Amino acid sequence: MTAPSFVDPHVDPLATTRSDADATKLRVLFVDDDEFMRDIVGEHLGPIMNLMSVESVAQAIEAIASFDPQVVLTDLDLGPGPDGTDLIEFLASNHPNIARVILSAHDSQSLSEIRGSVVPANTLYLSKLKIPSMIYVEMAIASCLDEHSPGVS
Amino acid sequence: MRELLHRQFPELIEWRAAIMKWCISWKIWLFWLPGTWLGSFVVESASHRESISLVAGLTASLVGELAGGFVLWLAASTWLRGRFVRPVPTALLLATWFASGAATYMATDALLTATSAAEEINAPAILIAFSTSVMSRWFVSVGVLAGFEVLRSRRLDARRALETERELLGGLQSYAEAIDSEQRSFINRILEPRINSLRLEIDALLSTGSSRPESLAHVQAIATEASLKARALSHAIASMDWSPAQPATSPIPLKRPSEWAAEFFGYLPRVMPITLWLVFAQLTLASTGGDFSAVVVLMFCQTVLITGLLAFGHLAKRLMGSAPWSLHQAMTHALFAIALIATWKLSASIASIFDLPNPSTFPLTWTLRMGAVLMGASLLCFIIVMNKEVTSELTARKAHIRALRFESEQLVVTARERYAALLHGPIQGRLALASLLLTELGADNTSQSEAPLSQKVRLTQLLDSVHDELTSPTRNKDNAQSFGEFLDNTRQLWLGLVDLDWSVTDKALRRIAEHPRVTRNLIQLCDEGINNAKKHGRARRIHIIIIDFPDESTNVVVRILNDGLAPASNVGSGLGNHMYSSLTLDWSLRPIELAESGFTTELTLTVIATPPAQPTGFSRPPSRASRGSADLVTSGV
Repeated sequence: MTAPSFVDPHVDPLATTRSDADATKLRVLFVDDDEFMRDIVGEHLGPIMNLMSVESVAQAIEAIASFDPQVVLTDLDLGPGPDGTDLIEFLASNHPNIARVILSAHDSQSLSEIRGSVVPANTLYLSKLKIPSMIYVEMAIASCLDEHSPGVS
Repeated sequence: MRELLHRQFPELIEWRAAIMKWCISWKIWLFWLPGTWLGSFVVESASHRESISLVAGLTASLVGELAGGFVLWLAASTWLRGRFVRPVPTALLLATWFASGAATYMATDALLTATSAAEEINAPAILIAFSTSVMSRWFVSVGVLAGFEVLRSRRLDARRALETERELLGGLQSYAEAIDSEQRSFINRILEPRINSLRLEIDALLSTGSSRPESLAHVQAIATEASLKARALSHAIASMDWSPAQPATSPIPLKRPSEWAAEFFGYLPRVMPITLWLVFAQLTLASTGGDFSAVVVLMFCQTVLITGLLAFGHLAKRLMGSAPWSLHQAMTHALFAIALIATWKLSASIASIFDLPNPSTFPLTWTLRMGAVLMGASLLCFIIVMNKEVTSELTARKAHIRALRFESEQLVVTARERYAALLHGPIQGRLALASLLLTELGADNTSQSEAPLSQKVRLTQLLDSVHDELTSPTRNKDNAQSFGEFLDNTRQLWLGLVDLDWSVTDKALRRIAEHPRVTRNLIQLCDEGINNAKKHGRARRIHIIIIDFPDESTNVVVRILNDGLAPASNVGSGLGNHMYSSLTLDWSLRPIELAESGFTTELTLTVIATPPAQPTGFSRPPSRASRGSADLVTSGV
């Protein structure tokens, strides 16, 4: 599957230090506190996307400023402190142009909304148990990106 | 000795119970007190008129007094289960009784002497003497016993509180362990063998290089099945009712201090006015030649003495706040004695100044009579002080029980949630990944002849990690940290979302670190407060303030300010509120009227800093074997 081409109008091409090859790839920030999951997802998505993996919300927020992702793919349960819904809320409030995808082991979104957390609208929810292949993650990211950036192929 | 007696004569226990059942009914006083008075009357009559055998009257009177003293001692001893009877209180109790008895003798003697001198029976005088003596002793006894009854009930409450703490901890902890064991067994018996089987099959499959589609499908089916098992188990655990499991004991009916005070003082209207009137009547009746000024001086002295005793009792309580109980008790009574002497001398001085009869030169009758009243008053003061101490101790213990109950509940919740989180997270997720990898392996036509090395390594690692997680979960482990470390870590975790700051002095941090339980509670409370401020209030700034509490204080007051949405008037009854109610003495969530540096909401938590010491005024409770309750008595006030 070919990664969708995408140009973020908010990003100054001259300001980035990435290689040209990376610049053409989709920038995805993956947040999961499980190192193994980061490795697995990195192995699958890394060759076709410009993927950065971090383990906490604080690191994710820092990476958003430096990495300028187009999509944030996050787990919900990130251990003590803020969880994935906090990050999603932060994105919805401060970076609405970044597409948001949740990749959780919870079967449904309602199960994941604990401690008063509410997943904001326009957030794609993927259950790790229901996706038959990692290709579906790629497809989900692409479709989510399309919804966030109408008119951009 | 006592145990030997009980073994040899088990009926003694029944006899004792039967005697006490009879004694604690007030009827005994109606029969026994007139009996002792009549005994003394008989003695005096015999000595004056020689119409009745002196030996018989003396014997009857002596037996009556001894029986009365013994019954009083037995009542106090048994009601307080033999633990309260120490030398000083026992001596005071018996001295009060015998002094009042002696006073009765003297009054009777005086009346009979007067009657003899008049050579006629003064029936009204004898009737008044009879009634006042009997009734005053009766009411004094009732007053003292009422006080003891209140103390006994308080002590039983304290004991039940301790027992409930032990049962609560023991019961809930074993329950949590049972859950842990059951879930561990489920994983060991069902889930882990499947994972191992899966790993062996994949090993065999990949090592032979015969990645046939049907074999892959078979292995994938096993992975999916294991994943579904994990999911079903985690859902079952997550959907379990984790509401607090109650121990097999009834809740402690701890009365509020006001209720106890009402009950205690409920006795007094029945006792004090009539007793005072009777004392006054006796004084008037038998005063020296109807000298009214002497009566006034006596009443004044009694008032001064009682006031002095109360004042010194209060002073003793303040002075002895942190002393061991035995020293406290000894010094309290020493102060009572000093107060008695001092106020006695004071009254003598006042009498000499105003040229009034000097109370210290009064006849032995009045000295004994006043002694009886004073000792009764000292006992009353003692009971009041004790009641206040026990009330304070029970209040602290009740708060402590709430905290223990919550911690016990947390044990259960943790035992369940740990596995739910483990199965939902690493196990289920990795099994799903294994299934995904196998699917992709099967779908990859290029690897039919030989599985890619990276795939093999990855799958092996994946299943190894699942096995490792099952045998030793890496998450949700207890992580002891200081409160300062918690604040630092939490600030890092919330960096970018919440600007967290705090005002906690080093002295306060040192004090908190001295009490691991307080540290744990504060961390839980602050974590909940921060989460709630962010989740419900959308706060961006949070400031934690711990008021620098003095050393003698037993409470830590935490203020968590945030700039989020103001709380609703009805804050609901969720888990957070349950935690606040359980781990604090008091808490409140309110909007800030005059916004303080932009903060709009304030959560105030009052956390007890030191667990209550052992019940004061009573003997040390038996050693405790159960965990958690053992540290109830390790730190004194």
